[in-house]
Amino acid sequence: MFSDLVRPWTGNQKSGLSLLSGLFITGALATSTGAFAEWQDPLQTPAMSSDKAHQSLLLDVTERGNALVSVGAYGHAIVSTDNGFTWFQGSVPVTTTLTSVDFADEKNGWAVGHDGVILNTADGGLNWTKQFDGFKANEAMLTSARNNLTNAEERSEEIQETGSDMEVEQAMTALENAEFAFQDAEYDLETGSTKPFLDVYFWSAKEGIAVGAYGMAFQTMDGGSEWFEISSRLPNPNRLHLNAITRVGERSLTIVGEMGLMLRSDDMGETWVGQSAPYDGSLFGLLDEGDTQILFALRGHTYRSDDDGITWQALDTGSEQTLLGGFSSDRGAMLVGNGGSVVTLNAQLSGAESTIIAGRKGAASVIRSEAGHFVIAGDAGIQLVSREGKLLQRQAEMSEEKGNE
Amino acid sequence: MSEQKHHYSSEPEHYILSSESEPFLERLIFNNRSLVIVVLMALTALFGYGLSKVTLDASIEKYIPLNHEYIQNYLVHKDEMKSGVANVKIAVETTDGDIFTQDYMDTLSKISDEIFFVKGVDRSGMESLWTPNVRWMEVTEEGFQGGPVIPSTYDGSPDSLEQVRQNVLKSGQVGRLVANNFESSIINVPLVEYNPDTGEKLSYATFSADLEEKIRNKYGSDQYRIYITGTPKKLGDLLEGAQSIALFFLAAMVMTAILLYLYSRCIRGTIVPIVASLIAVVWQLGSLALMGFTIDLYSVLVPFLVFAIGISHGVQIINGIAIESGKGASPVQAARHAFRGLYVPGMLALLSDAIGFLTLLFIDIGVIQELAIAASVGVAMIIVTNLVLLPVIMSYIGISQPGIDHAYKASQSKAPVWRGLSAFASRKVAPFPIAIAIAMGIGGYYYSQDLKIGDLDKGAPELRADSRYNKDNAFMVGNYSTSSDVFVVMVETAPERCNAYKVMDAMDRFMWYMENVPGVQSATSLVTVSKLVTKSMNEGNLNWSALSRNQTVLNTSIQRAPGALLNSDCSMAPVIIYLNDHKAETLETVVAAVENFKDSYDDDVDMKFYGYRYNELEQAIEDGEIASVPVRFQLASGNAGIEAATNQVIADAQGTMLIFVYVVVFVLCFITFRSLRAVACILIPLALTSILSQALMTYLDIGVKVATLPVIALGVGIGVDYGIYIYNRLEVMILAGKSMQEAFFETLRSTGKAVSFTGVTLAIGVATWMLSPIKFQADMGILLTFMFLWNMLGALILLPALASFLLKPESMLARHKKKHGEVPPAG
Repeated sequence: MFSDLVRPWTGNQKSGLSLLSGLFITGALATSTGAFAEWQDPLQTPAMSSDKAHQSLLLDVTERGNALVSVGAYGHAIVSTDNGFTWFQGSVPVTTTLTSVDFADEKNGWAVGHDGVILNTADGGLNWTKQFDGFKANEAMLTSARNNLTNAEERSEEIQETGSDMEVEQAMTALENAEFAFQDAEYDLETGSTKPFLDVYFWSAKEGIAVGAYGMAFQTMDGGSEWFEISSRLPNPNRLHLNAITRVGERSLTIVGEMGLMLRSDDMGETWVGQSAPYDGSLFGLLDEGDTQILFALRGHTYRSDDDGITWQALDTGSEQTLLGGFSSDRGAMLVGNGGSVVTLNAQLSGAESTIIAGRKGAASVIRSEAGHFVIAGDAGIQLVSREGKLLQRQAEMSEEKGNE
Repeated sequence: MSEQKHHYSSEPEHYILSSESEPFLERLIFNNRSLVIVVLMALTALFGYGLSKVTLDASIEKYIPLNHEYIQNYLVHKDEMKSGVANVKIAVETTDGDIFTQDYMDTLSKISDEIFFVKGVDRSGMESLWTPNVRWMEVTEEGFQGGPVIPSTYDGSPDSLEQVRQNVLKSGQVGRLVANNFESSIINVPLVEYNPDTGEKLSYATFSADLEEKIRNKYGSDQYRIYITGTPKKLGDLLEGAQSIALFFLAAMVMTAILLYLYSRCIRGTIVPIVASLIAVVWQLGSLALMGFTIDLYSVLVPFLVFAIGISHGVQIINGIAIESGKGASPVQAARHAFRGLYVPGMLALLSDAIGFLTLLFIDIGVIQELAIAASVGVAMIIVTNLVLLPVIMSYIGISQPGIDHAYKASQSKAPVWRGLSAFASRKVAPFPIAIAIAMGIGGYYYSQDLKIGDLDKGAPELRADSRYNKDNAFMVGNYSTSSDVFVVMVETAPERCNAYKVMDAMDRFMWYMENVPGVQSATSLVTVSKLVTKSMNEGNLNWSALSRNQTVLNTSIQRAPGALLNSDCSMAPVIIYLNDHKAETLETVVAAVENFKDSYDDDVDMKFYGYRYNELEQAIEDGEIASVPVRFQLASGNAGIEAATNQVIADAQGTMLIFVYVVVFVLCFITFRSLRAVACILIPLALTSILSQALMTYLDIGVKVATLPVIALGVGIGVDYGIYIYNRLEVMILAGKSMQEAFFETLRSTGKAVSFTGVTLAIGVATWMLSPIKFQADMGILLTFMFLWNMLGALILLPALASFLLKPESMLARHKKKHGEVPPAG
């Protein structure tokens, strides 16, 4: 039904319009009623093909073998096989804003976003299918919230008979939280309000976790055929936003979130414990490079840990802009954020330098290309910058070609 | 001259009025000369009184096609979207460094204060770096932090200037109130439409003059430059420009007087046509004012036309009187004979002018229709003032002896120029002009295929590209993130539903769809605000710049949205689309894209649902009467939207108007001359001029627009005069038994002389418009000058060439004899 919306102008482009044909076209427009369509849910509406997908809001960029994949607003998923200079658009079945993308290997990748949507590609980003959405998430969240509530009720009854005052108080708080969670889940389900996923990480073509707003977390063990709710496993009673999930070392995962929330699993997501963060503002991401971890957060706060996150030292970045994305390698790291802020760290990840990308557009994610320059996704779409944060002469463009795989 | 001896007792081969030898009209007028003078003077006094009621009107409604669907849609919401229109922006630029200096801030503060007290300013809505409503905001661990961009602690020290710089960066005003290069900043001044003290409508002319005097002249210097844009300022400049029209009128009058004197060599013969034509102007202006019409930027030009056309007909009469006087007739006799010979072609010409102008009524745009009425009335007035009053006055005072001598000498001279020109009526020479005309016609036709509809220039098309306003506008566009070409689509839904998720999502998709259309720069709406606020509420995290499905979040996100982005009951939210330009192709592409989107997204539901209150609609959705909140996309507003509608009206009307104006002149010519061949001789040169003027428009990049469309009708209407006069005389001469070439020679040195004088006079009258600061008046001037001159050449060269092939003098004579015996015709 929406195929006629794809590339809107091709059908109507007119040049050197003569007066008479102008008259004719006006008449034709007035009478063309056509098959009548109506608004459809963005979760049911395929993304429009666009020549400007690389210039609209993009929220994540990742690598897939030697190719780059970026996702963002209006269901855009774009792929580049030449270090970010030319991009082509994958076909996506939703128009929802996508916030994060991750590939397990060259072919298999997942993208998550608003409306609790989870998409999967098996061909490196050309074609995407929907695996999960916020309405399913709401049902799962309600079931889980109901179970939690039942458990909390049982526990509080149990404790009231046997436990100490403090235990009783804790149980009551837990019960209260469980009640709130249940009410919110009910509200969401009734009103069709959905929550966004904010990050996704796959450590194999089968296993991955997607985390999102209000403590929402889902896991799959079978490549996404089934997504199950794991928020109740997380020690996050206030249902704070989960901003990012990062692999740390061999078998560990760290989730960072709102209000200094830092959660750690040392068994790939089975069990989680809270960690104390060096900062109680929002944390937006964690980089794990060798023995060093870099934590970045609201208003330019950046910390370094050399002992697997037990102690942290503040890094002076000289920037007060919130940092939203980062990339590290053995050559150093780059952090990007609001107002076009770029912070570069040297190979030892100690010295930091701060600059601003011309145009001051907010940046959400960054990756280093094989060619050595950095590819940034953000408010201005794709921006290619040098290590020093200067915009390259040549910038990204869209291509009709599907590229050479 | 012996063959002309009897012509007083004969009558012309025309049938409009009387066929008597002394037509009824002539007897009526010349037997009651004093009465005619008294009555006409009384009328002049009445209309002169009407002059005092003439008012200049700048209401925007008259310039747009009110009945077009888009405009109707716009008018529904006009009052709700007013805030965006009556608004001026004043940029203060420093030529030395950037704006973060104490001196600049002081100057800006003074200007800001000064504007505050300019009459018409909506003080509460004013925005500048110095107004407390311009704030910066930042998310910190504790939540939001913010304050005015210039803090209360500001003292002009380097530290506090640095503070201002930081605040500006955090305020998000770069590109809006502060230039992208930090060398200027804007004071945004919304206006109140009515003076709160007096209740009077704000005069844009006064307001604009106030700004010039109190702001630009007072504060503009080498160091600080002032730029002012906005619709009220543009209108003010236009009204100011319109006043220079009076000067042009004076200039045209003086030049005409000089030419007239050179032509007639008679003071009386110079003054009387000018006075008669001025009387026509007084009648036209006065009568229309008495009827309640106002003057606008188009109809202000009508007095020129009336004056010029009046002169051209007056010249014919004076010429006739001089020739008759040269033959020894008394002033009364000369006046009567001139009247008798000229009233038929004169009335025919003026009637075809008037009816030709009336075809402009087909264009459903107020200013054009009023132009049509004003011009028609004016031309009708000329029939009385210049065909009746003028010969009557001349019958009293007569033409002076030098004038008579001059005319006589001319009529006796060998007139080598006219002799040479008359060769075009011979079959030997005629093929050349005809071949050239055909070549030009075909060439012109193909060239004019590229003729565009609409305005083609950047900025405010009403004013010249190098006008102060357009320079100011170019400065704004170049240094700020804004476009002066705005296309607005109104998204309608039920009351209190403009922030429903479905409506917002449809708008969001519409904006992205439109941003992909060539010629569109960007789009903004309530959705933009909602996404921005949602992002800000989530610590500025870009991941959150999306629409929430949670109604509470959506409501919060638009709580502080500017009033211009939704109406008071939240049943309409405009999507503002910024375009690269307002060329017709761009507008057509944009309109087609919007229509295409409408087809896929508009809810085809009963109108009543759009009026349902919140609960009624909830109920209707529950009852299954309607699937969800209704939404539809309504074109169009904004300058580009209105222009798109105007272009459509013009494209539709253009063909109709051209056909009608030609039908009118065809019918009138045919009724008068009763010969298709005659009609062909008169109309073919006109058609060539029409084609060539379109080619000229193509060449000069002048589009078919509100200003140039009337010119086509005016050009044909006035151009036909020449042909009628020339053909009329030529026919008389042929019926007098002269050979084609000889007949044309005689035509040339009497009527032809007057026609060429007329062509030049009219052309000079309208050529002065080219100096107008108002671009469309200048465009009209160029085109009319071209058409008047070219029509004159057509009548003097192409008409005789065609006549030499088309006319059959023998059969014309035979037909004339059959009807009237041997009596030769008058002439």
